[in-house]
Amino acid sequence: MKLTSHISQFIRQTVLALGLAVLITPATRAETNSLPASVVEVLVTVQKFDSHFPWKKARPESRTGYGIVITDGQLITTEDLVRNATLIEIQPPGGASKTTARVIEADPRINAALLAAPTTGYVPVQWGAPLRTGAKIQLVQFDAAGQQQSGEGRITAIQIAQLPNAPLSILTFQALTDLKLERVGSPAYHEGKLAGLIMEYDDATQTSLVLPTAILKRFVDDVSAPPYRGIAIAGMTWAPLVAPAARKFYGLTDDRQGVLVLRTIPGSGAAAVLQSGDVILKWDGYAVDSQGYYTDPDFGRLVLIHQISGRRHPGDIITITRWRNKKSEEVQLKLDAYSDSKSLVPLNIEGEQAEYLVEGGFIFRELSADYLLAYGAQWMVRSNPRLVDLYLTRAQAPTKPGERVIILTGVLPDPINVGYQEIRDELVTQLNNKPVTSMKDVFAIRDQDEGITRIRLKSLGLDLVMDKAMLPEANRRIAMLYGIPKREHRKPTPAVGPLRSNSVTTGNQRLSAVQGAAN
Amino acid sequence: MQLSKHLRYNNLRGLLLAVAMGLPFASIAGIDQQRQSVVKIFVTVQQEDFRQPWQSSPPMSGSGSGFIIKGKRLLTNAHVVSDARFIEVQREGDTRKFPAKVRFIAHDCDIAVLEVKDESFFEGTKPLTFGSTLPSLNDAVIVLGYPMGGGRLSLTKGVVSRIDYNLYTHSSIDSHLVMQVDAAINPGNSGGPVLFNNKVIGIAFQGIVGAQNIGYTIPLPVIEHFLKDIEDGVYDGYPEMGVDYLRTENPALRANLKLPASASGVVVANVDPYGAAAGLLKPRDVLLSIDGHSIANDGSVRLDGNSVEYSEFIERKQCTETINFTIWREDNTLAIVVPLKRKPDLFIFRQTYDEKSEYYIVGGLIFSPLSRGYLATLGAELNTPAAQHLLYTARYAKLDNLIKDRTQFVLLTGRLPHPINTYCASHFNQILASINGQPIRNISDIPEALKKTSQGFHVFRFEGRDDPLIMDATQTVDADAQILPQYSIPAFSHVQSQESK
Repeated sequence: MKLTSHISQFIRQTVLALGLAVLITPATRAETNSLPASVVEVLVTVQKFDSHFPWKKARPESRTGYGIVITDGQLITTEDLVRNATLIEIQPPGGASKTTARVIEADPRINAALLAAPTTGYVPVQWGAPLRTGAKIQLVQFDAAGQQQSGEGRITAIQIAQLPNAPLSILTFQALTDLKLERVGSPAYHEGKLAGLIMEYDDATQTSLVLPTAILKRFVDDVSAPPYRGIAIAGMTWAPLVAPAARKFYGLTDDRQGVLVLRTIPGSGAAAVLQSGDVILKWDGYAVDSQGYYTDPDFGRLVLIHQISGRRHPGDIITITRWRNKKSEEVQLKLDAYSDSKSLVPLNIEGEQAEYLVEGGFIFRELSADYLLAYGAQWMVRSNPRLVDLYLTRAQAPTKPGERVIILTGVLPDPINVGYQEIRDELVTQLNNKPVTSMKDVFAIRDQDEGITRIRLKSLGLDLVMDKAMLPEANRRIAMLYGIPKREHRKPTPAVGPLRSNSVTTGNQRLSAVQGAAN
Repeated sequence: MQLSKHLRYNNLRGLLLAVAMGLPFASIAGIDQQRQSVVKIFVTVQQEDFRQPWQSSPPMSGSGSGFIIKGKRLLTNAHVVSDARFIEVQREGDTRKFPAKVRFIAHDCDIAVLEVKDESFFEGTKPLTFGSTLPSLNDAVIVLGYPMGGGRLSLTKGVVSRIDYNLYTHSSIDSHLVMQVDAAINPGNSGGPVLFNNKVIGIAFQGIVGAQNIGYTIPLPVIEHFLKDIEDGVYDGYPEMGVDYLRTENPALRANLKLPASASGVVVANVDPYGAAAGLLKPRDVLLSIDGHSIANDGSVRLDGNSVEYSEFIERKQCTETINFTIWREDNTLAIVVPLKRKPDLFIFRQTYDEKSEYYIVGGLIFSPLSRGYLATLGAELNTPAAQHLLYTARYAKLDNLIKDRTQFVLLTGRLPHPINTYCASHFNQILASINGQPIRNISDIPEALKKTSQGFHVFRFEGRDDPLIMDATQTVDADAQILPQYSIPAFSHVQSQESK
């Protein structure tokens, strides 16, 4: 049983908790084991956009988790708890007095969120020091009446692992625990100080995935010194270089370990100093072994990735030792900010509303991971193999900056598009005889030509043509008939500095959504 | 909808059934003569093992049905006798089994002709005769055969429910006319005749998993096409036109094509480079008529009072014949004659049978060409990016111009573990691009490319991968000498000559 998949159970428990609160005197917040009273319950109302009909929103859902007060007026929790939130409220464990919270910053790349809320009466938690494998941790959660449940655990692994609700990997603790954890965001302590937040719990193996304090503290420090810089990337892919024959081929001797550079993202810091076939011997002062591990001063043997995402910031310049043409050389590499928008197929983990256009019943949008994943567990077989392959093999490899994949998700039947109505999930190459590689192109062509009447798909050797004279009336009719409040969604061009990442915009949008709900 | 092709009954209870033999059989009114000619077919099958292509699956026994036609031949389904190592046939009420051999097999329409050397098999039988036209909906038909659930001949009755195009699951690619009946058709019925007024008008061949009273039969036109095809002693198969079309229902599309209001037809959207129409038709051509019959905007043609797909005309032709189109191209009406020939299409990925899969082993790495049979073995591995790329390649090789100068996509399908290939697993299911800088266009290119080395190494590069597999060239030879006996592999390669492809 996975913790995160039991939203409905949380809802039931919440309802139960609210019912009980009327009958019994509110429990005082227990402070057993001398743990500080820093934990609040976070109640979130969530509403996702429908990826396939991007003007629609799904039915609101509820999620419940915990947040930890870190300073007066601020608390931290996991980003996946507050993702797509329309309303965030906090309350004392088991309590009934809710107050509204808002997101200051949330970064899906590290699953961390900082919330602002009144925290009178709580004791801010103290950050713990980095832990090693084998360290004991204490776990805390609360029952419906607000009674504290405590448990013990032990860190069994410190590794780079995939986040529970994002296809991205960061430093995590794996812990074996004796408490059946029921909500995300509950704290893990070590000697009374915060060791991390629970991201996931597997009942079958009694194992939990913990977001370590090291990641959280860096996030909070970053947010506290605006602008938020976010997570650094080098802009390359690499592979282990273990096979003895391959090592010999590259002219590496046993004292030279290192990993092989596969590909660099054009325009990235890595592209400036590395190329496919280079071997990275040292990274930022640490020797890299043939599997890509280095010895981290805090956490021991870790994969290279942590040096970039966990120890450095965007804009930092680091020294690496590369092996090229059987010669070793030190070069300076400038780290970039991770930005989903640079991808050919963005992940859109945040579930932001996609840019779209409904024209003559044709629904155009950019291909993104969330669009494909919205097909459910069988997404790989339920979508067009061409789109699946683009995401799986070329997501990070646009041929030019800003390139995206424009797709026709489907056709809303109307007399104007008769004969084309069965087409879905096709790749669009041209509109009105002009190439399209982004929604920006689509909108520009529509504006310039006052409508889109010729659609070229990659699968068809001829244009699909619509009657331009019929278009305005058809657009009105389709919008009315299919209940489309806006035939298009165009993102405002963000006026952000070079170091500001995507998630800043996200945070602001969430903020306004929360305020909207409060009005 | 999941179509099942398992109407060959894989019989594990042969002994039990034998007990029932020799009982007197009840007379079936009106078809006593016909039933004599319906035979049971016993087969021993060994399927290809696409993961270990140097060997086949364990022998499996199964059974199906067939019937005697003129010329002392038996007609049955291709899937009953595919991959057969040994075939025997038995007549109703006879205890003897006679060895039989496949004379013709058509995997694209799931029909086969068997021959029995011992002529005494045919004594006292009269060949079944074919009807002259297909029955209509609601006409009563009977199905004869040897389905599961007993050893004796079985008869089921029903009506014609539907006549439509549908997929023939045996090849997993081809669609032809199918006659759906509501008579029970079960595993073992495959190859048995469907009679209307005591004449054959179909062959029972497939069903739908989980559906009720839906039995699919190969209708008369498809059988006739097959029999005509083999008259010259060779089965050529169906010609492939290779045209995708779009209906011309949209007035704006019609205006764009400058199609006169009086004209009807379908517009060519794509032309397959391996099809008969390649070079003759092109996108935006509007097909107005076929062999003098006008094509409607939805692609249908009136034929004998019925509305049928225009492709039915192509279905009824043989490979040496021609099709006459009237087309609309750039403001003009043109007559286009398409000679029908079957070009070998290497990238259609039809399911193959009776063919040894090709492979090449070097340094314990197993290379094989991409095939439908191989993809079917992937199972849970299908959810990997590499396997998804193979699925994409199989479907879009032609449209997305992935072929280049290849005749095969050669894959790394696995390894025979040995210290030389310990670190190769991350390249499984990747498409081999080159060895030592030599492009690999098909599996026969591998031995040629391995004759050279890259400064003492063999460098295997894969499509879309920047990390090559690298092996010490001298160690490879020694390793293979150990690997082959260690894993009981008779030969390090099976490569067909390019001419035979």
